[in-house]
Amino acid sequence: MWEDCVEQKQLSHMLQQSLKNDRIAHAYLFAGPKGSGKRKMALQLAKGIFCREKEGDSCDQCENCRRIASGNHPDVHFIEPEGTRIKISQVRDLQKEFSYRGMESFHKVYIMNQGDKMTTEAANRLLKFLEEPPPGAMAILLTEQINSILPTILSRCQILHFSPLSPKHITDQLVQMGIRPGLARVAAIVSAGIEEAEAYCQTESFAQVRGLVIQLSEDIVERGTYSLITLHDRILKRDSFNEELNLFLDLLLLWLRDLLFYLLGQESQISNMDQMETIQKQAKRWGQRRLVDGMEKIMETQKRLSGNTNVQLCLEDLVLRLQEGS
Amino acid sequence: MEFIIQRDSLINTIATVSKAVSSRTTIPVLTGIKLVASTEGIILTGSDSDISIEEFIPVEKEGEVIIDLIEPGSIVLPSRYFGEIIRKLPGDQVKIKTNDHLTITITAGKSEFNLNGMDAADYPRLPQIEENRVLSLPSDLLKTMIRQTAFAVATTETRPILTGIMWKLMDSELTFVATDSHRLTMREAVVESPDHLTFENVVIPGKSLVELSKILLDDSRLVDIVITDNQILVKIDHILFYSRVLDGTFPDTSRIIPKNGKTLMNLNTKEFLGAIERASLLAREGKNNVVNLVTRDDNSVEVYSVTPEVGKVIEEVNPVSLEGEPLRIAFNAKYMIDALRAVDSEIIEISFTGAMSPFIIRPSDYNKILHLILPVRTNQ
Repeated sequence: MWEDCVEQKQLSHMLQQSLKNDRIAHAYLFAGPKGSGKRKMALQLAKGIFCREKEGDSCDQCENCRRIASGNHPDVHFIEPEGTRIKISQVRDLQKEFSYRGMESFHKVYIMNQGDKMTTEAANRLLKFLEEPPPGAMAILLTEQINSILPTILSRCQILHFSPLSPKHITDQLVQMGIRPGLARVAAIVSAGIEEAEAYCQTESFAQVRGLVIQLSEDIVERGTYSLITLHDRILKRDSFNEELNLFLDLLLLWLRDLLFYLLGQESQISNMDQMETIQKQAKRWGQRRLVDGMEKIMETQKRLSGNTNVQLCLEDLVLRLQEGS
Repeated sequence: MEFIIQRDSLINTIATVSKAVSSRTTIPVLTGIKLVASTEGIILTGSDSDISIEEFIPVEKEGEVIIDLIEPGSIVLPSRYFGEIIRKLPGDQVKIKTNDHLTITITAGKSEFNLNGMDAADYPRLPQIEENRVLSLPSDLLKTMIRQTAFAVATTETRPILTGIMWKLMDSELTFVATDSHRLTMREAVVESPDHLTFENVVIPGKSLVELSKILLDDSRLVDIVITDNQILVKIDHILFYSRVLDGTFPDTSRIIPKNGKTLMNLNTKEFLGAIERASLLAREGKNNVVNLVTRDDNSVEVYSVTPEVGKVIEEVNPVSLEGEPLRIAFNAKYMIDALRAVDSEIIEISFTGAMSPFIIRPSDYNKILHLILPVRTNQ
């Protein structure tokens, strides 16, 4: 139901109204970061068109709603990247499919996930199809990177921008699911969207990485160069550290920010609320100036790592620089 | 759902309906075969969304009990595994029983399978039959009509509507038209239909009809055809064959058929086909399979083809009759061969309207078939 699209209240209201007034566009582009509810909204729009019980809304009970949700509705087509790209043959198959009348009704909808992953050939083939759609057809393209979509495609779609969810919103949802508030809040800030945050909270490694971040921060201020050994023995040796690298830096940045909030007396802003004691202990040792410099260095390191740099050297460099302040 | 069934008839039915099941589908539930059991019998359905085949197995056929039905119900089973399992099972009887949570148990002799299924509610709905919009024709006639037109549909997807055969019904005369914009084939037949029933521009994919003709029997039993908005349905005994209809308007072909021929000839089909086939042996190498046809003063016809890099061929054909203006024309041999093979008559009549206009081929004794071919422009 449209009320369920809580992530994007404004957009869902707008789409609901256009459905009610029969002013649905023939092509939509939903652009927004991961987890901002694009797919949910696309399915909702399809349900709104096909639902048998409610005009312009979905009941989520009838066979059409249920089949759309399970991907089995014969007149709602999903296109996902095959491998890394959406290939021209997929667009060709789609066009072939749309040269037929609908299986059960007059309407036909296709939902293309990660529309930015189309090859140039595929995108160009889709152009004419978007511009002169067969009667009754509607396109919904989803993308996280609107900038990599050809301008010729953009100009043929009605673009809806999905704003990222506010961390507070995600935290509330996670807490409702029974996750501890401290962990939930940290996960909400470093993740993009509710699903990722939930996944974080359910894996052990997330809590482990957070523990290591706090440990490293303590070692940097308390034990000097010993922190390099912590980095080597406990962090770099982790089996899946390559995947955790970005998370590690994000958490480190967040930790230093919390320490700074504490020093500035803005305790309500602190994310790692379950670690207040440790924060009190560490914050004084770091000092304001050092924290600000430290955060700058972390961001610099993140930037370097996005290029082709050696992870170990970069992190060692970071740890040494973080110590320099003392 | 629970029933015991003769294995043979289940195997045959699975073989029929799985013709419609494709492994390449984006809709998960279509990888399966739907089973619906009721007190009258069981229905199996396979579909790739373009075509769907449904077959009914009655509880009793010709006095023989086929199904021992215990309990009605429905499920969708993965077609690959289900078909293989039933084929390989021992014994003459199979017992199929659903358990909780969309799984079934298949037992035969001492062997027992548990198979995961899908919810039958997820399966696409097939259109309901409206009994007053039914037309009937003999199975072998429908099969012939498909054979005589399906070869002419377009194979490229540039104009999707041309990949289908257009059906038209007027005054109980059913017409099939197929064209790829270089040639056109038309076949008419008188069918049984209610007086008020007329339709036109129902375009059915050639591919679907080729599939249909594989199921059609070579006898004169009547098959029923129902046209709905989105699909057509062909009913053959216990089998229902559904095909989706192409969307769009088929080009109006009535105007391009020339009325008055300037050169008329009657030819022996086999002899002429042989001559064209021989001439195309050398033409095939060149572009367009071009074969030339020239009328001579002595009332004979010359068929020739020249490909400078390969060689040339000349053959004289004696027509049964020849009248009208002298003519020199070139055309694609493949189209001519297709057309001649589709005509079942001994003598054919070709009517030309000049070297640059399309020409018509018809059987001389029968006016229900028409082939139209566009000539090729040559520099000679």
